[in-house]
Amino acid sequence: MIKENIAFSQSSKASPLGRFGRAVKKLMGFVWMIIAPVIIFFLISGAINNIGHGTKDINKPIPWIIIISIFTPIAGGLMIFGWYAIKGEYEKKI
Amino acid sequence: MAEVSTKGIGKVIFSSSLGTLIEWYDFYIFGMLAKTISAQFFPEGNDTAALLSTLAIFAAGFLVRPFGALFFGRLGDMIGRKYTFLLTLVLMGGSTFLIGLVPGYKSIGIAAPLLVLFLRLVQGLALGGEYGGAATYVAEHAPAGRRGYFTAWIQTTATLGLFVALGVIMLVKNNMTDASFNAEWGGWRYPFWISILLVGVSIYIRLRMNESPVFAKLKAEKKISSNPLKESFGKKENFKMVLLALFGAVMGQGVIWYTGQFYAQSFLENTVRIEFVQNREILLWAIGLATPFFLVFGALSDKIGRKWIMLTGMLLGVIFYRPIFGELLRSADVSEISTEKNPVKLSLRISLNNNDSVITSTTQHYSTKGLYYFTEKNDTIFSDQNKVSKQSKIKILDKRLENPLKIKFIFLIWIMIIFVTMVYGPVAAFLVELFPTKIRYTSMSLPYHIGNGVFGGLVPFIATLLSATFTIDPLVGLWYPIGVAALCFVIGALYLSNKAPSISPEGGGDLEDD
Repeated sequence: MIKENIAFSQSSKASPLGRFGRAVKKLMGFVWMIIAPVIIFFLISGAINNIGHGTKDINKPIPWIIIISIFTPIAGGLMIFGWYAIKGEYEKKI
Repeated sequence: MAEVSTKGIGKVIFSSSLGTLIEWYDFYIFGMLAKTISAQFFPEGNDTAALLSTLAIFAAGFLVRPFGALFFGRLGDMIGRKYTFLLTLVLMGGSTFLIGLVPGYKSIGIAAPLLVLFLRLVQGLALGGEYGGAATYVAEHAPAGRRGYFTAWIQTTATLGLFVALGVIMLVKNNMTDASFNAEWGGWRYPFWISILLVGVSIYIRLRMNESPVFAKLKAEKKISSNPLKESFGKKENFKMVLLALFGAVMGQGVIWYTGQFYAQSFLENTVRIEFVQNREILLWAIGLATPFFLVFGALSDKIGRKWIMLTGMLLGVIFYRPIFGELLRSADVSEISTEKNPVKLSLRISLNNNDSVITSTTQHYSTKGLYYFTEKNDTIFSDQNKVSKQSKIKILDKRLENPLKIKFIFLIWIMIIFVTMVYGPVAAFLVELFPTKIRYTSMSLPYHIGNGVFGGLVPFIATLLSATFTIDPLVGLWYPIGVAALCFVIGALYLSNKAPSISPEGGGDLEDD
């Protein structure tokens, strides 16, 4: 509660431009959270559409399995990043 | 505060950079000799060998590199930087040398690709651990106000490793016939064997170096982390920095780095169809002329901050990739054949296919655009006289650029490598300054290898995917690096600060003040 009050008093002291910047950072958090599952959706649909339809690497299952397995935690990380942005973890520029 | 002065920094940089350069050299030669290695160890028509080949390509870059970053990062934060990046060097050099000793598939069957796959995975693991150690080691020796400049020397090694790998392969290839080079125990093995000499020298030099003063102080005070993985990724305060480093800087840096140096090379070879040796020559010139700019932008980042230099490099890539690659394609377009010089028939070969005769002719053409190129045509004359003879389409084999056009190509590739120097020059200093000493090796290694190995390494795969889906646009593959760099630019612009670390009131300039 005290923390929230401090944060509120700090944000109320900030210039309009500063407040706008903070709002944009928080709002963009939703975008990062949405992008993450969209990436995984495109990877899975890319795998379904391409596996077995030719002889290139994109037509083999192994690369897709590796890529989707490594990208799933990365997309999870992007969602957490978005969540942190919404929660104001990046309000102070790093 | 531990003593950090520039005394002896030259030795520190030399010992660290030489080892890292050799590690990159080792990693690159496998990729550059992929065709020959494939023929020797992963023969076509064998499903198991094909599967192992795919694993060697994808698992080494995508899975094992980040795992190596975690494994060696943890080790480096617990036992020290010096011995950890010594170990990665031994592993990398040893596995490279051993790849050069594995007999081909013809001699030992499936054991050959299995051994090569194992050694390639060890290479990926070692690479994952090397960079973070070298960058941390140099940064912890460097004074705060010049950390960008000193770590930029480490940043030159990824590009210089490519330069040395290209140079050694070309040197060997130019001194023997193709048959001698590609034979089972042929010249392609020499670059692998040379590695052991380079690694030996580098190990000798590194053994004589001391531990990083900042880490040594931490160790003396018994403040070393007992669980760097948990502290790096389990604590929100640090994990949010790892995420920011990845999505706001390294992910864009990875695609810019890969597109400028590797995608450009394969684009010139496979899409523009520049002849093998000239293609490498163009890249060597561009890399050689651009490399000093790693130091320029590293030093500049000490003066004006890291953020906008890196982000400007990304933005320039986003804006100029399509115009530059389009210009490369248009400049060597041979739809207009010169009328000034007549084509020269170089060879005419007749072979028999059943009872039909196949006439293969190779011709050299001149284009008004300042290049010449070779074409091949196969005509079939059927033994059955009732059949009309069949003329095949003319196939363009190779193009060779004359000097003015070659210079133009070098310039265009040079511009793209300048973008690389902008994003890559300051990134080591940027990463080491984000994390506290006791978990620095672990925390910076993972985002770096995900950014470069995964996001960067995916450029050719996604480019092929996009080209197969949207067949009309030959530049469609560029939308992946453009998209990733644009996303990273927005995240970096919003969430990163540009304060110069040496004057940071939060103490970001003092690596030991954690």
